[in-house]
Amino acid sequence: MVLEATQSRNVDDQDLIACVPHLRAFARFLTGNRERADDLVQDTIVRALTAAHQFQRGTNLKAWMFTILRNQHYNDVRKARVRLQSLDDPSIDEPAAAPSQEARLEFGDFRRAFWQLAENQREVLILIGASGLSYEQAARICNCPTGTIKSRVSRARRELLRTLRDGPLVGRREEDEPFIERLTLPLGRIFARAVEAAAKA
Amino acid sequence: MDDDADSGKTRPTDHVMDRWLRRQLKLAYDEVVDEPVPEELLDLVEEIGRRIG
Repeated sequence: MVLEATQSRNVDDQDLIACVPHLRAFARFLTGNRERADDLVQDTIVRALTAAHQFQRGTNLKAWMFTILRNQHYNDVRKARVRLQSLDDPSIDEPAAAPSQEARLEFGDFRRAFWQLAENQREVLILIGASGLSYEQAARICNCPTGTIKSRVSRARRELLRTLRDGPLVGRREEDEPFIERLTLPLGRIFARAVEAAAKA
Repeated sequence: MDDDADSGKTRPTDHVMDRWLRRQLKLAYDEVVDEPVPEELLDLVEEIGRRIG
């Protein structure tokens, strides 16, 4: 790729460096692979810096970078330069540390269910639920209407819940009361438990 | 993430699910964000930045 020294720099290096951890996270959840994700981030940085004159100051740099990264990823997939990894690929990291065994088990269940989602559902959950972007920004990144993003988020939520409740994850855990049952407890029962606990205290 | 695009309605359990889902997503995302960035990526930014000027 030819770098043109004459083009104006609308992207500050420090701002870009601040985006790198977020690019790595988004790439990790698109590719499911640490090395591939970092390669993708590297390609994205090169493309972003060489196209820096196209970035409009005052707009969201992270969203712009996410757009470049996502386009690059799907270009790579289309060219079959990468092979998407299966759920059980060992390079998909296990959680490092969680505050309790219960939290760790919940997190493990979540991750397994998450990786069973369709790719376009995973990406909207990460964009909306984790990276702090709005539905409108996610729609621009994914090049689709805002309503489509909302529908994908809604379907992803339902699919996650279905997988956690009925899917192949059931039976992996041996707690007396699986967390998903507590999750779906009617609110009245949750309040009743809270009142009971407060009375005992 | 708390509106249901299909039904337009939210139920109490939806809010519980949303809170849980957001917490898990944030945990997974932040786990990567908090990792040290490989030096080669930072070097790349600086190198290309210098070349572009």
